[in-house]
Amino acid sequence: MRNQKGKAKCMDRRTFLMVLGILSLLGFLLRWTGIRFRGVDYEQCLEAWFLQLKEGGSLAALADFQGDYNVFYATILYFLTLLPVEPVISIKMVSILFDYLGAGVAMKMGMAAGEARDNSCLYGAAAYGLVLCNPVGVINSGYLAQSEGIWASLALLSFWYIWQEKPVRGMWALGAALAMKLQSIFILPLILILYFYKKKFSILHLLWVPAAIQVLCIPAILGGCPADIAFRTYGEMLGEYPFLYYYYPNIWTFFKEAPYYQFGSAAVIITFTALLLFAVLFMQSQTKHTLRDVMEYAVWTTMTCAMLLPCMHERYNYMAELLLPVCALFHRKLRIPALVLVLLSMQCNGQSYLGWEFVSHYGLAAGNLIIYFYLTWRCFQRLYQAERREAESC
Amino acid sequence: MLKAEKKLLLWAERHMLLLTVLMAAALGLYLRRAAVWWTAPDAGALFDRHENNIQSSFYHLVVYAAQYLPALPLHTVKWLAGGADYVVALLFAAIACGQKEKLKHTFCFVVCLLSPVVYLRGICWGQIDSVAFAFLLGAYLLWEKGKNFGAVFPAILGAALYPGYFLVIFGWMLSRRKAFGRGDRLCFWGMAVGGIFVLGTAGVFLGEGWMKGLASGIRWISYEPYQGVMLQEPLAWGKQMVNVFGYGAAMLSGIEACRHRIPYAAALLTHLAVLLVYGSLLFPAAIGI
Repeated sequence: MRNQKGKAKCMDRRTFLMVLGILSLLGFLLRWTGIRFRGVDYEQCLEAWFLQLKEGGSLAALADFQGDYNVFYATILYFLTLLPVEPVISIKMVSILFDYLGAGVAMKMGMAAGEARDNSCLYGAAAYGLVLCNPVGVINSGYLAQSEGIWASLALLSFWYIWQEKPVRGMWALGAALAMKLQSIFILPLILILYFYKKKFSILHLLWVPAAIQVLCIPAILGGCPADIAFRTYGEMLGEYPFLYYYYPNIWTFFKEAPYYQFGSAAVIITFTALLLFAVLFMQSQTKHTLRDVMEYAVWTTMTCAMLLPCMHERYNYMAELLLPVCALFHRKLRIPALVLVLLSMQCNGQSYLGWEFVSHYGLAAGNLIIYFYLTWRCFQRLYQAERREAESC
Repeated sequence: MLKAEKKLLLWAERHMLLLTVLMAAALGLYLRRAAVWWTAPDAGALFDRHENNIQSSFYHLVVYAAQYLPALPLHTVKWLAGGADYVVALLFAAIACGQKEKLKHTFCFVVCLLSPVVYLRGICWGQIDSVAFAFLLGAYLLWEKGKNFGAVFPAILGAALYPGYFLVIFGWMLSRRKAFGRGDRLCFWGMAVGGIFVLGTAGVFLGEGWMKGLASGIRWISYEPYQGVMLQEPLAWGKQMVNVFGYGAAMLSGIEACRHRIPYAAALLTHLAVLLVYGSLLFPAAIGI
């Protein structure tokens, strides 16, 4: 089929919706195969918390919540206790629902990024399918009952709104993501870079973030939690672990015995410096950045946090693992890194929760670092060349 | 966006590079202030002048003199390294980049100052490679500008402080010279003779005698630093050589990459390899290299 300009048009609306429907069904079936699987974390944490909240019987149970997850997640768990559904299903279904949100956001991004190639529907559907049927996502929500899908989808939504120059919505989404889990802060560097780059919204918009966090904690506060409960939890999380390394195979895997109290700040400063240099180069390059490129930068910034920050859990690179395959739709050279990253992540999750021992932690760390440095080289080289062109033209 | 906010953003954008340098310098200082209280395993052995110590007599003289400064002994040595880190970062940027490459200058300074290799080797470990390297880079800069005789003095100090660098750095310097004239040859020999003189004299000052002072310049080739026993296993020897030359290799590969003589990936790999060896020495249980 050809459109008026004579370019190939890949999909009409009906086909597009049908493809989305099939992909949605496939994504759901993949998750449903593991819906009754009870992982270690589920049995020892999520189920125990669920039963404790159920026993409490009212919002007051939130004040006695024993878990180390944020109170917003505890509130969701509390409301799930009111449903006449088995906890293993209800808990997983929340994450699965947010997986669809994440896939929807990726679809929007894919369509916007694919517009230049005049086949936005195809890219949108492919992005939707890649996120929804990503094995890491399937394992995370469908098998392990983890909540990465929730915060990652909200963080991606926040990025999308900011890119669309809808800062209030973006900040509310970011607030919701942060209320869910602190690691959604990995998207913040890119949002701040976009703030500098676009100059379209005020820094005061960031005040919506604590407002959103506070609003989402209202049920817990009504139940008797202190008013600053959300922010107090963040403080308690920092410095919880004694060493730089904490299960995620990143650069600190090679420094397992390095104590957090001494080298934690060094790791944070190294991460900050890497992001700062990237921001400087991004601003200095003076080019018009396309969404396709910015998505790759989003992968790089989130991966920088996971690779260089201390005490990273095996699921903290989730956003990059979802987004890199989408980027690979637009950049052929990213296809192998995306595939390898997903495989490494599966092995990493399998090692922690299913006893897989195919690759050592050092091997996983080396693989992750190779991908990370390759992405670093790509992003920095592209920006540096743009900066040189700009400098030469001046 | 508020008007004042936009003005502030535009101002920050105009002075972005300067602000980045200042921020990196402040962060570097913060990092070093915290790390100075951490002691590496067996750090004291590096300063004990036991039999077959691998450090040069001039190194021991500098450490000995530093004890008279009003600070804890190990802290004094660490701050010598910490201060020299800043000098090295400035010289690194000056050597690696062209004069008009402001962005590259900024990046070189920041990356060099906050490099994990520099951080671990200097302020964490208390090794003063950076002091020696600052002298040698200073010498190289002067040499490149044609001030051959001015370059001899910092070169003598650098080579006497870390004799291992003598061969590598100057081999590299000379290989980069387009023409190696009579003046250059004279300077090179002046530096070699000066280095020998400083090592011997430092030995005399320390009460060890001239010949022992000279011998301290080559012990690093075959002895391990903590017990002073001879290295007999090839792997242990290789690791010790990475230990001795790692800092210099990481720096030189960075400079060469910035000058487009080797790929950036090679510099990064060198940096990572050195970092792994330093990590395995500082946190022994971390990785069984």
